[in-house]
Amino acid sequence: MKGVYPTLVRRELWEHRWLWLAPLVTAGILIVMTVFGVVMASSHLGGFNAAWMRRLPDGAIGMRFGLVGLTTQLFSIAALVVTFYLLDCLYAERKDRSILFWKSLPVSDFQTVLSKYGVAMVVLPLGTFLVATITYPLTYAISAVGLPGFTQLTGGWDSGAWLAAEGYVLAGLVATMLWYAPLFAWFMLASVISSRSPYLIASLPVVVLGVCEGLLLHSGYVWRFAGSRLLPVVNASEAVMRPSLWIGLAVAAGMLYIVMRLRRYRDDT
Amino acid sequence: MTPIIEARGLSKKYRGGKQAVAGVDFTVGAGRIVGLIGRNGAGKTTVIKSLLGLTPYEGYLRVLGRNPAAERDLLMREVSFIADVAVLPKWLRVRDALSYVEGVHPSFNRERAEQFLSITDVKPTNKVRQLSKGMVTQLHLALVLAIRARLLVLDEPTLGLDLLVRRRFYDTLLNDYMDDERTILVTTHQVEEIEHLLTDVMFIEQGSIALDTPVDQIGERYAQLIVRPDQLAAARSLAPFSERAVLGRTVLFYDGVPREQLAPLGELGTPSIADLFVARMQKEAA
Repeated sequence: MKGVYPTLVRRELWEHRWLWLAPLVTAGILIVMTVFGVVMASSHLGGFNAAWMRRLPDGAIGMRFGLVGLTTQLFSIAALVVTFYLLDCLYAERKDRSILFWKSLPVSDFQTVLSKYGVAMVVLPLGTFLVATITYPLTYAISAVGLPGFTQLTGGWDSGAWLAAEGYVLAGLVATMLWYAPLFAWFMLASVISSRSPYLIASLPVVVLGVCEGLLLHSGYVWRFAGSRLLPVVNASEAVMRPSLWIGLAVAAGMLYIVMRLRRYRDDT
Repeated sequence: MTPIIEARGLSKKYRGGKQAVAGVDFTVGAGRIVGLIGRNGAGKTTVIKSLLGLTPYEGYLRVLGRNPAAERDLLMREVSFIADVAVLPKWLRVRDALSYVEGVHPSFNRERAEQFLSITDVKPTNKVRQLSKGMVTQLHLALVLAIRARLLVLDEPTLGLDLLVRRRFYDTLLNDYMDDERTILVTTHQVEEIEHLLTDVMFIEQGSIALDTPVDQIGERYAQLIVRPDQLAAARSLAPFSERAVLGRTVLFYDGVPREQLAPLGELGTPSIADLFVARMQKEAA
């Protein structure tokens, strides 16, 4: 792939290999666990019995639960690596002075910041979604082959229900990314400002504000606010109606602008 | 023809009030190889960072007709920069470095870079962390030679390299990069090593340009005179700005003293850039 932005994205994936390794490794572990579970179930329990059957939900809801469960596990890991990535992405290049190399090439600070933000906001979530999309039918197929009665129990593979579940997960994912936009921008701001520890810069203001608020006002608004911004969106259609989501996007844009200005004018190499 | 670099009243004050560059004026024309020479902290790197748009500055500055503070990304299509050897990131693989520059630089010639690397020990699958300092420099040089920018800026490019690699570095630059259209601006501590390649020299002292001259005109202003002890008093009376004793004789340096006056007193010559630099530094210290 040629072109400036694809190249900039590849550069991020070369440096931060865990961005793409972590979801793949997690998916691999989930598949291995499925195989293990199927083998255990078929050898020790002899397949499903009637008592289980009544408890299992019907096909469409089962698919949704299955896919949401799988995606949640993959995205928990992805959220962890993306946090480390964002806190590191504008700090490491100054620490090892490689910023002098990156800036010696015809790439603007706007392009650099946008590509790093895009990796966190678009490339990694979509990539993880893709991994989940492939992993789910795989684990289903493993269960169907390994467990006699699994197919009848779940009502068989229902492509329509599967696509609907995929749509549901994708909508939640898009809404969650929009909700996280200011959080991710905040991490990048911490990364570009920091001269020692971006982790400290990102967390300390919130902790100090939260503690001061608790001591002086005996309230917990800061904690609740921080907590709400860390939680993913469950109901996409509800989330996009929140004014705070759109205000958050505007705040994110403002923070990214500051990040660009700082990368451009800050000189500490 | 427009100059490659034009600086008027270029100033830079760091936070904390240190005046790194104090209103300097200079011009660099096409096809020149300019040595920017000064002690540590004299302002060399600050001048270079300003030229490349890497740091904010005050004053008028144009590089290839562009304002570096506002247009660094466009400027870097025609300017290459090698800082000291440590700036290529350790995690970068050699073939990925080529892919990256190929992807972001409109005039990068990958074959040329590969061809240059094929005669070195640098393998495409190596990561920078696996390469020696000398090999990293060869990699960086390969990237730069494959761009063939109009202006090449080198800031202590051979710092920490052994003599063999340093020599090869400058030979490659002269043979594979330089022509009448291209320009090099280089800073270094090792003045002796590059003085034979320079066409122009600029001395920078405490943020000001102390000397800015084509190398072939140094002899019109400066002279060096080697005298025996019996002529020393007479030579000293002509106001040398510096002197040093060498093997029982004394070398004296003059600024603007007519050669006819000096010639009868001893062996007359033109000081080397290194000698001139040291002599001026001693004068300043005295």
